[in-house]
Amino acid sequence: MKIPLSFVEKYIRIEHTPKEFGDIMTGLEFMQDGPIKEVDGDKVIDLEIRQNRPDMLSVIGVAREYAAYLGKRLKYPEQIIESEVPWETPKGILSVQSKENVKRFCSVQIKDIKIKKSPDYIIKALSAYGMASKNNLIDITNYVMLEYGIPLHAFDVNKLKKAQGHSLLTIRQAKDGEIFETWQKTKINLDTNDLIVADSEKPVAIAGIIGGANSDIDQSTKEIILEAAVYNHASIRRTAIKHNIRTEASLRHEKFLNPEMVEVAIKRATYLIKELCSGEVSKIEDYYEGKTPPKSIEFNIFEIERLGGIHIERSEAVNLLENLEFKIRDQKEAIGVNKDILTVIVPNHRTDVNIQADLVEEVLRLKGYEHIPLIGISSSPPDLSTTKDLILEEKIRDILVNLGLYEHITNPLVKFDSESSSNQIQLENPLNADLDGLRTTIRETLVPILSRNSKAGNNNVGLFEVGKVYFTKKKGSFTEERRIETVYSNDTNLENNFRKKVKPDFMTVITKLGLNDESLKYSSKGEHLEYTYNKKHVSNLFQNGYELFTETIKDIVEIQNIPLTSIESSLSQRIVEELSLVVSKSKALGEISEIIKSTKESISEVEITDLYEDVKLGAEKISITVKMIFEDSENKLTKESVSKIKENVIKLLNKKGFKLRES
Amino acid sequence: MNKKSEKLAIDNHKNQFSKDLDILDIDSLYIKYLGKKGIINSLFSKIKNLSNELKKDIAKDLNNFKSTVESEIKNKKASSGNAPKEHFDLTYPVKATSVGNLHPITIVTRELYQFFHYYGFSVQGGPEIEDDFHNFEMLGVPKDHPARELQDTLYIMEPEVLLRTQTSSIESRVLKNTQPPIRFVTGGKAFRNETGSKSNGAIFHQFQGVCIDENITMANLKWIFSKSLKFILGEDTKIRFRAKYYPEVEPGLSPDIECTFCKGDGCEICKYRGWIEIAGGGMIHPNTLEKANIDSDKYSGFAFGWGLDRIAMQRFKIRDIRLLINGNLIYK
Repeated sequence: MKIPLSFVEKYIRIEHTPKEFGDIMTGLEFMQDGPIKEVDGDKVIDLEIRQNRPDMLSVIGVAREYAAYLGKRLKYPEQIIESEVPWETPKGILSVQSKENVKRFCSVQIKDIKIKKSPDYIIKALSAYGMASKNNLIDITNYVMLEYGIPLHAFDVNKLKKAQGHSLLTIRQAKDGEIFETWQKTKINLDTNDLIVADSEKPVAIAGIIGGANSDIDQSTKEIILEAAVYNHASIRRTAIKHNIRTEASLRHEKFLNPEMVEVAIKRATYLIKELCSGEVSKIEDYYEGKTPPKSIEFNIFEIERLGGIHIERSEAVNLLENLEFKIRDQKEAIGVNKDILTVIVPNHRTDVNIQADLVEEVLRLKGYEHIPLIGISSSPPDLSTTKDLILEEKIRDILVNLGLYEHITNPLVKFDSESSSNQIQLENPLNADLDGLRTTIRETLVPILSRNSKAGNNNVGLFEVGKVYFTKKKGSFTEERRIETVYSNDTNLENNFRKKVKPDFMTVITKLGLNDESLKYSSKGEHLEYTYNKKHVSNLFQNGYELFTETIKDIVEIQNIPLTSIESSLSQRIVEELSLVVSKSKALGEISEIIKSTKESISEVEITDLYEDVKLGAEKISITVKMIFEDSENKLTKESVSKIKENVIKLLNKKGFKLRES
Repeated sequence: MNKKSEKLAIDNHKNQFSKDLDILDIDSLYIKYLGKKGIINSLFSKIKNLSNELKKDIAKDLNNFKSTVESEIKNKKASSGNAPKEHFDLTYPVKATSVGNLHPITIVTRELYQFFHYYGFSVQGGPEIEDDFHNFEMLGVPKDHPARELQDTLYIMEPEVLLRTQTSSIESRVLKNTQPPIRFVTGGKAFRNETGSKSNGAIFHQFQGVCIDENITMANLKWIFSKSLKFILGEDTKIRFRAKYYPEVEPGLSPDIECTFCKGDGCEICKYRGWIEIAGGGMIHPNTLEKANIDSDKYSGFAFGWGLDRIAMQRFKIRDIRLLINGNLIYK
C-alpha cells in the first residue's frame, strides 16, 4: 500500500523522518517495501499489508497506527451529520435479493450534481497513490476509499433502466450467460455464482469488484446513487479470481470488512460531494440485516506473560490497548471481579482481533518485540521420536557418498504421459503443460542429469536422489512413496561398467544394509532384477543403477547396525581356488554363485575374474575363470577337504551346464 | 709400502663402508666402492706393485672386502624395494580423486538437524500430497480465507487434494497424533503454482520447528531463533524481531537479519529496508491447538520456519535458486 506522508499528516502530525516512520511501521507489523519515493514533492512510502488488516489499506489506518505508537489521538475528517438526511431501510432505491452475500448495502441518492475538476489536494493525493484524476465525483469515491479503506461506487441515475414497481438498484446473483461490460469495455460472461448490482434490465456492476460502462459518471451526470457495501468476502473473492479482475475495490472486499465501517465512508463521501459537487442529498437507503454489537473479549492479562514471556503491568496493558482504540469496560463497580481480567471492546475497524491471543499481540507489538527477553527452554525435552525412514535415509546417503556418488534433487513434476498405462498422477492446474504430472520413478528425472555431467567433464559418475514417487491407487485415491535411486554414466562399455562399478556398488549397499544373506533373492523382470528379502521387495537392479525401497527396508533392517560392520579379530585360514569353465553365452552367470552357495560349504566369496571368447569354443560359448575363496576361522581346511569340496562344486556345476574347460 | 700399512688402509675403508652403508644411497655406494674408479678397483691396482707374498695375503683380504660390499649393497637393494629409482618425481601433475557429494540442501539440513537435536528436537516427516484440512484449514486458513492469497496451490483434485504449499502441513499431522510435550523439526519440499525466478522457486525446501509444552513463550522463540540463526549465518549476525501476520500463529513474529551488503543503510538487495526478512514464526494459534485436541489453556507452543534454499545458496554461493533442483549443479 502506497502511503503519501502528506496525506497521513491530515490526520496526525508526523514527528519522525520518513525513514524513521518506515521503521516504526515495519516494527508494528507493516513492513516497508522498497525505497521511500518522492512524488510531486511528497514522500510516498510503500508498506506491506497482510491479509488480516484490510483497515490498513487506508491512510487513516496507517495514521491510526502511528498515533497509537505516539500515544496520541487522530483528527478524523469531517462528515455529514446523520440527522441532516433521512436514513431509511430499502424502499425504492434498493432491493437486496442475495441476502446471504450482502452484509450491508448503503446507498445515497444525490441530485443536482456539478461534475467538474477536483480540487488540487485531491488530485495530488490520488496521484501520489498512483491513481489518475477523472472528475470531482469519481475522485471523491477514490479519495474516501483511500481514507477509510471502504470502496465506494457511484451510478448515473439517468443512465439506469427503470421500470414500474422495480427499485433502481437490485443486488442479486447474475443469470447464467448474462453479459456485463466493465467501464474499461471488457466483456464478462457471468454465471449464477457472481453477485451483481443491476437496474431493471441488466447488470450495472459486479458487486464489490468493478462498475459498468452503462452507468458511469461523465460530464453530463446530474443525479447519482452513491453506494458503499460489505459483502460475503468469499463470494467476491471467488468471482474476482474466476474472472481474473483484481481492482482496488476487490482487493478490499475479498477481506474481512466490518459492515459498521460502511456508514463512516458514506457520511464522509456525502460530505465531500455536498462540498465539492454542490449536490443535494435526497435520501439514504441502508440495507443492514444482522447487525451485531461490537465484539468484546474477556482478556486475562496474565496471557501476555504466558504467551509473550514478558511481564507487563495491568495499567500499561490498558494504556497500550487504549492507544489502539480498544475500549476497556470499566469494572470498578462490579464486586468480586478479578482485576486481571479486562473486558476489551474491539474497535469496528479491527476485524482481525477475536481472541485473547490477538490482544496479546496488540499489546506486544505496540510495546515493541525488542522488549521481549531471550530465554532458553527450561523444560526437559520429550523422548526422541525421529522416524526410522529418515535415519535410514541419512545412513544410505553416507554409504552412497562413500562410494563416490553425487547427490541431486530433481523436479518431481514431469510431463504427464497420457499414452502410458501407468498409474501416474496428473495435476489439474499445472504451471505449464510440460510439467503437468508427477513422476512415478526417480530414475526418469535423474537420468537426464547424467548428460549434463558428462558435458561438464564428469564422466563415469554415479548420481543418487533421495525423494518421493507418486501414484494413483484407484480413481480419486493417491499415494506417495519414499525411494532412493542411483544412476551411473559410462563413457566406454555399459556392461563393463555394470560389472566393475554398478553391481559391486549395489552389493556394497546391500551388504552394508545387512541384507546380503540367504533371505535375499532375485528374479528377472526383463530390463531389471527384482530383489526381495523374505519375499519383501527391497530393490530393483538396472543396467545403469539401482532403486532402493526404503519404506520396506526400514522395517527389515536393524537401523542401529547400519552400516553393517563386520570385524575379524583374528586372521582366518584362506585358500584361493580357481575353476575354468566353458559356458553357453545365454547362461545367467549368477547361477554359478547360487550353485556354489547352495553347497553351504565354507566358500566365502565367488567372483568371475576372467571372461573371454575363444574361436576354438565356437561362437555360442565363452570361457570364464571363477575364483573361489575358502575361508575357515578355525583353521580346519586341508588340501584334501578343499579338493573334495571343489570336486563336488564341479559336479554340481556340470549338471547345470557349466562344463570344466579341458586344458 | 709394507703389509701392515696396506692392511690398515683396507681396514679404514671397511670402517668407512659400514658408516656409508647407512648414509649413502645404493647408487652412490656402488659408484664409490664398486665403480670403475671406485675404492676397490683402486686398491686392486695398488697391490699389483707388491711382492707376491704380500700380494696373496692382501688380495685375499681385498676379495673378502669386495664380496662383503657386493652382498651388503645387494641386501640394501633388496630391503629398499626393487630396482633403484632413477628419479622419483613428486611434482607429477594429477587430477584429484573424485569423491561423492551430498546435495547442498542435504548439507544444511543435516547441520540444522544436528543443531536442533542438541536441544531435544526430533526429526519428523510427512506427505507431499496433502489434503485441504492439513495444509490449510487446521492452520487457520479455511476455504475462501483471504490468506489463501499468500499461497498459490497446485491441485491434484481441486479443492481437496493438493501438493503441500508449506511444511506446516507436517505440523498439522504431528500435532493431531501427539500430546505435549512436543518438540520436533522437519524439512522438505513445498510446491507453489508460481513461475520460478532466480530468488523464488516454484518448488522449494522449507525447514520448520515446533515446540509445545507448558510455559512456552515468545521469549523461548526469540531465543531459539537467535541461537539457530547465528549458528547458520555466523555469530556476528545482527537480528531484529518484529510483528508479522501468519494465519497459523498468534502472536506472529518475524526475525530480520541486518543486510550484509549495505550494513543496514538500505540497498537494492534488502529493498531499502536495511534488513532482510529471513524467517517466520510465532505462538501456535489456539485454534490450531484445539483442532489437535491440545488444551490451549494449559499448553502453549511456538512454531518457526525458513527456506532452506536461500541458506544453501548463501553458503555455497549459488546465484540462482533453480540450480538447486534442475540438475545443473556440477560437483567438482
